[in-house]
Amino acid sequence: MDYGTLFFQLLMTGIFLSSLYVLMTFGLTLIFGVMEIVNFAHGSFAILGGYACLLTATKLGIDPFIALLPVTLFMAIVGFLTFRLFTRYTFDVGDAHVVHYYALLLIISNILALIFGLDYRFIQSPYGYEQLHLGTLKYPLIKIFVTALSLATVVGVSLFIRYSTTGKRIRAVSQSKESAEILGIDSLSVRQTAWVIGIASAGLMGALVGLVNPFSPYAGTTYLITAFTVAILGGMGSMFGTIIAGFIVGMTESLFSIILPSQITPVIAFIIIIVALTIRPEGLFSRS
Amino acid sequence: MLEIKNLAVGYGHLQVLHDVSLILSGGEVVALLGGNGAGKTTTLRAVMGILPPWSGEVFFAGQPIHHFKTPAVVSLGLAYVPEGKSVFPKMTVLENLELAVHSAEAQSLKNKTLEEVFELFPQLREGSKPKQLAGTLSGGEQRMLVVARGLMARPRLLLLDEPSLGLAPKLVQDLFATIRKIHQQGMSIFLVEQNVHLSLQLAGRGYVLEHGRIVLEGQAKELVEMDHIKQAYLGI
Amino acid sequence: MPVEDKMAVRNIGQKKRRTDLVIIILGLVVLALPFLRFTTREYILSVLTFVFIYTTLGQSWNILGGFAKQFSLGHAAFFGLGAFFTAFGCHLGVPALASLVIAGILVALVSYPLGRICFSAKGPYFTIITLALAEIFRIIFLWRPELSGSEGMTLPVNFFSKNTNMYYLALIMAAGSILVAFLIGRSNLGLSLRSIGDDEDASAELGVSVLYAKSITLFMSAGMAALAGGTYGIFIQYLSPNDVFSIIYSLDAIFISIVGGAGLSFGPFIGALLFSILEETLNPLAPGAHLLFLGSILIAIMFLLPNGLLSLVYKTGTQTGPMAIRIVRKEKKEGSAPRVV
Repeated sequence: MDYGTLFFQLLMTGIFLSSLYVLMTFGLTLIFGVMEIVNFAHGSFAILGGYACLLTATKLGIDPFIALLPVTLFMAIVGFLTFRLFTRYTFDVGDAHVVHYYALLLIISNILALIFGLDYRFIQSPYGYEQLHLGTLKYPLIKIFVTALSLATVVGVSLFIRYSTTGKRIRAVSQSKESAEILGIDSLSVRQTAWVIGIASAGLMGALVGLVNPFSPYAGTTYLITAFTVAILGGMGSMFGTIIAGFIVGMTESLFSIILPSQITPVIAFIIIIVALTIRPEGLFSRS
Repeated sequence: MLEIKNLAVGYGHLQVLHDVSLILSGGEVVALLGGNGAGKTTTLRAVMGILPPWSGEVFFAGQPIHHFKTPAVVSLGLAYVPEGKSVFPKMTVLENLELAVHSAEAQSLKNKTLEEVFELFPQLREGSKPKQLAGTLSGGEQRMLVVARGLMARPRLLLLDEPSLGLAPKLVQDLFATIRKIHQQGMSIFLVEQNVHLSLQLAGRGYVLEHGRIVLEGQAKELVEMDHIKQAYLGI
Repeated sequence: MPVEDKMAVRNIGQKKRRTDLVIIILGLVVLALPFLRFTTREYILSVLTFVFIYTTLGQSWNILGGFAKQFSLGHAAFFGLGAFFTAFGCHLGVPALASLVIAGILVALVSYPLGRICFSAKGPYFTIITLALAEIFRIIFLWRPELSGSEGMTLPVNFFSKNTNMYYLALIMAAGSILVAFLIGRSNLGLSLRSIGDDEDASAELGVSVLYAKSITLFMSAGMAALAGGTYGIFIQYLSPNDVFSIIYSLDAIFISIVGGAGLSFGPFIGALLFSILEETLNPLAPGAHLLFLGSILIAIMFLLPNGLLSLVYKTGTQTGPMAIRIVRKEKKEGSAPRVV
């Protein structure tokens, strides 16, 4: 393999990984920014999305990419329900909320385990084995689709938050909840919207990953840790920081993947957290 | 228009207001004066529904609002301009202003309101200011923005919390001149201030709050006279 | 209306009902159990051994999380390390008990640099790092065959392989952990920890050496978890990284501590009892069933009985308790009326 091809592979894998990491972390950062909650169950919501897509695609016999639409809708509903039944009661708890959300993680993971069992599953798609050819270079088509969708979602949500009225209210509440309330903004409803977007994006991410990697009910933890790395690196609460950090982590992982076996990659993420927090405890673009 | 009856409010274990009563009629400027910690801001917050009252009642246009949450109070036509820097720092001047617009009425009149607000505060319209991030504005400009933002909702009653605090004297003069203009345009204003002279120049009536109780009330002219005697008492 | 004054710290642990007699009787029964003859003896002894191990594990979380509100999600790291270090010791020929103790000390020492890293991060960051830590160890031990690899590691048969000896070892360890927690609670360190849990910044300003308090507590916490892990290893005689470093143990620690009564020295024992009962009855039904229950009970407890089951019996720290939902965390946060659970 010559260097040109190697470089291309690394670049593409880096972008692929980065786009997924950013999508995953986006929801986490959005939720934290707006309501100061670290959603430890985020990974399990992602896995839920994965299983939802698997079910939809196999039971309805449709292309999993088309299934993504109803799956995202489903996850939005899940988000709505969890907010009304659970999340809004955890706002006053302070640091103790980590336990609540960890318990939520367990509930979701184990409901999935009971329904689907512990085996690793995979979402089959028609383009599973095709590659995109660019002259002599090639890369799996499905990863390209996944990358494109992840990036599109991230861009879409970012634009929404930047320019729409609801998006501006979300930013206002995350910058100063009290000032927003004084203006008459219903902060609970804004938080609900942010939560729903966060959960839906987590589910979408899980489905997208499921198209490329096998997953099981407990696999959420690995996604979670990487998401946390990106979130901390970028500064919890900063959407822009998430994007930058996501790319740093994704590219670094891609680079190291030639030297180290793939199971080790979370270790890299971990080392990155350690180094980052030692140098700059608030993260690269923290909200303070 | 606004009536507060026997209001008692506190934070945690601490009671700040004991039995506060006052009235504000439409078109008036009423000043609430007092030293630090007297409870002035607490009063405004209670009216706005930010703090739940321990006992007592608040009426606006005859309607009891003491159990309302803040968005409901705002929708009735009260606007609160808090003290300090409460702009949204990472949003532009225009975005800050637009965030205050909710009701259908305010929405449809948005552009007109913007024009009016820029008339009152032309500095906010200069050059590229409207697109500038609010956090980068000077202290005086931020204060103007907060007042302007309060006006964007086309309120019936404006609650001003220590508008002069932290501003240079010239800016304070300008700001109060603008507030006078706002009043002349028909706005009712509830003014909370430590600066006794300026507030009593502007206001028609005033109340003095001390340790959570109203200790003095009357026409502004009378209070100014008393002021000379009470100078040490009020700790100005 | 104003909140009632917080209980004075020294009132923590005062009994609401006369339970002393019950505890003494229970204690005697537990001590004498191996000498009684009844049909399910082996099974009961075995379950109780697990209860004691879980008590210790829960206690290790309790002293950090219950007292000082430092919520670790990675205690499985210390549990697993303790298990493996003990196993290594046994393989090197060191007697089981000595291996266990050395493992405990080693892990406690290892916790110091880890603590330096983790404690520089506040609040949720600490939790995240501890979570990542457990995962990292799991992956590393899985990866390297020298460290056990995916095949795991067995422990040689030893003095404690006899059920009775194992039972008393675990019992002593659990009792020791309760004692340690009790002593901490009464000491100056305990006071520091509670104030840190209440408001870390204020404590620092008042002169509490926050880093020292956290570090030394982490030291004891890691050591305790390691002892629990080592005992576990000696008991079941087989270790796999996917088992001992699993986040399940991290949850177990939290569940046991909170459901029993966070911040109380006896809490983890009650929690461990409930946990074992649940595990024994539910596990055979379906994979993950008991975990589902655990998660649900945990949430239910936190919303309904935030100070754990023991709060039905003992007074806990403040009226609103360490985990209570309806509490104003920082009194300077305006706009919230104080509501008491």
